[in-house]
Amino acid sequence: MDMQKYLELFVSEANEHIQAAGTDASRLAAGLIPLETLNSLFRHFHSIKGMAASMGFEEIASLSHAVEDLFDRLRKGGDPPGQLHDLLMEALDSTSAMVVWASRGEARGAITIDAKPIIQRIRDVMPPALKPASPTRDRAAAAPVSPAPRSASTGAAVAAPSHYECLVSIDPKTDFPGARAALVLKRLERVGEVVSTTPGREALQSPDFTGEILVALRSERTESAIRATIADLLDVRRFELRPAAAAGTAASRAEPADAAESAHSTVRIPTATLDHFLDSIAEMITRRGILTGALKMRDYHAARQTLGKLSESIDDLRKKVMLIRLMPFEHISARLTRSVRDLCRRTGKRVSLRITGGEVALDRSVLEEILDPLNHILRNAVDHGIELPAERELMGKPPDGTVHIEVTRSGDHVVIAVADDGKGMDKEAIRRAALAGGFATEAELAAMDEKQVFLLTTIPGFSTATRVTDVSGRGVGMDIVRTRIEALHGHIAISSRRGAGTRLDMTLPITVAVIDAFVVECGGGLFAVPAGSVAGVELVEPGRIRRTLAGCFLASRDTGEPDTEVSYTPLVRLDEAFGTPPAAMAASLDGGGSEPVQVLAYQTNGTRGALAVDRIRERREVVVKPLGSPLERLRRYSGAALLDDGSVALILDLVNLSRHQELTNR
Amino acid sequence: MTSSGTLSVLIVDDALFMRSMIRDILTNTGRFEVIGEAANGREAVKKYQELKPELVTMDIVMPELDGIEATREILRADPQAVIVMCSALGQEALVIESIAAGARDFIVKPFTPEKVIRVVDNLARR
Repeated sequence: MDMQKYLELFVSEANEHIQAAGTDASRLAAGLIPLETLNSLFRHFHSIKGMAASMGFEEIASLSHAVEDLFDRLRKGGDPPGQLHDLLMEALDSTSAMVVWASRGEARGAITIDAKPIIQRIRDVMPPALKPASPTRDRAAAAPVSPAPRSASTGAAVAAPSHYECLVSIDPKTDFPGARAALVLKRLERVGEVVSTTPGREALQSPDFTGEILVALRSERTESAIRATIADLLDVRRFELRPAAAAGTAASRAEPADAAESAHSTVRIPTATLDHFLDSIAEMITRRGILTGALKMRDYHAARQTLGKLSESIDDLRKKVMLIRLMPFEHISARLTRSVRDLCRRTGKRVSLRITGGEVALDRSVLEEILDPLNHILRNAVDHGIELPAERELMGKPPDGTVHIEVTRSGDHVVIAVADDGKGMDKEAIRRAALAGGFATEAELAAMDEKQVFLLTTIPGFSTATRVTDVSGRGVGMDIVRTRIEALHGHIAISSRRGAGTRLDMTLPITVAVIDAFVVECGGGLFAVPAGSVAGVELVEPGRIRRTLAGCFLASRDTGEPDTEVSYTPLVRLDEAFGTPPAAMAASLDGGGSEPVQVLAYQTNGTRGALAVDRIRERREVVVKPLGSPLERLRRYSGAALLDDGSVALILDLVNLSRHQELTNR
Repeated sequence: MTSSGTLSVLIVDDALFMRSMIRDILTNTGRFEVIGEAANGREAVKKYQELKPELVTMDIVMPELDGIEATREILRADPQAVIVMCSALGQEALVIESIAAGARDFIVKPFTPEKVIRVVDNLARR
């Protein structure tokens, strides 16, 4: 290829990118770095890298690659190094000089600019790479319902699906063997159901992927039809297809092991449900017709009525579809039982696992996400919590330990409790370790109740730093469990008694998609308060609001009965979120105002509080949209709700809101 | 098929440099005709609807709307769209995500005529 021709284009475009990056760089010097600037710098150096590589300018490509990596990690949340601005300016200077060298064309000679030192300095201060694409993006990528293989769900008498084992071998010399394998999997999904893969799908992205993957496929198609599906794919070195050893064993071996995996990507729907959908849709079509007719006749009254009916049909259909996402907890029971069995074998402990409430249903993605934390908790319980049979007998306990997983539904939440009858956690040891490790001061420890002390074990680094794994009765990794649960907008609570056992309570929302909420206005912002947690709504006279050094409190109403004590509820001021409180409410809250304040009292997960707002707009069901990165790190908000007029309301996470208020008050 | 029996192509990449290179490679074969170009994902979706090309080459990292989102939007409107991702080294995870979104194949930069032609010819055959 004639590279000369592209030289001019390369030089002019590279210089454009360098110029633009220079402008972006000036925003770095100002201190606060906007995400858009990081994205922009990432893209500029990404482009320069690509063009330089195409032109064969290795040095320019290397330097650009290093800067691209740096900004990629920064935009994903990495900590900016101290001399970021200086580093960037130097990199830009070197890149610019190298482009000038390149522009000389045939007359350029060997490159005299040495970029190695600056590249090394960039790599030295590079923040660590974070986890790949967040779950929110992945969820958006996967369609919630993908069509099940053609006749798998019609229930009609068709040839029973067969189970196949496919050995796929991708030429390892190809650019992206993992992506080639992903193409094969996508094709196979067209003709059947990919029950499981060995290694799992995450391996495709790993640099260690060997190019070989074993796929367990369930399909009604013939062998030749399946082979034909992938026949035209490039770089597939080998594709072997054979019926699985025994349809039963391969499937049952693969299925329960990856029931959670396949639960995430495909859904099996009873045909009756599909019929319900069709009925709902038929109804909607009819009503739409009536609406159209009414509008033509300008009968706006009838039109409004029909629109109302049409809205009902739409809501009804939506509810039906949402229900499909729900799956009973017992879907993962088999895996949990197997985990415990394996753990017992490895540790010599004897533990029986009891699961109650398996019929309680959760959103399938939530179910998928808690599998890891649950396994982790079980590992801790068996490994560290429950004593060896001999020990237990000495203590007068039955030689077999018990772990009880209890799943209950409480409003729009599910509570999963894991309790063991092992040795429990040593409060004092945890306190001492926290003090010694610098995780809490004497004063803070003194103010903590039992539950808060146990939660100390979930601080990242606590177990390893303090080495209290056995004494605390809990192994490492509790911080990860907590993070995962909180990422699902759930909460975790620990209670324990020395010698008797430990209990973990995890509260999780049932559906992540739609919630019943009060849409409120405050300080110019819109917020959504989950209705399930709202205990009451009141207009409160300013007299009932007490301002103290510890914060604002709402006094309970005077019922007029003698001798009833006044109780105080912590009052949370949403206006502080946006910093510009409107006159009336602030005046009442800060003293001196006489306007009543709109208050919502809430109770959730053991936390009580009251929210002061400007006004309540309405109560309605809202579709929950995840905030995505980086806003999802704002723990006070559990998502965003899109309203009909296009505006966005931030959904409040009441427990975290209360906690935050508590901390700011202190 | 365009009137001269060639396959129509829409090239999407934010770098004019890359668009020129891909355009030249494809046109030189005599089997493809570039009927449009777009410099970001949003333009790509618009141009696709206007021109209905038989093949799209799609860069991944672009301002406004990235290649993966653009792929999703194009496929939502036309599930038969044939989209080839053009990716830089080190972006395998993004390519795998593109495949999940419906991309038919991919080419990894830096491009050589052989690499590009091998993939597009294979797609053209079907």
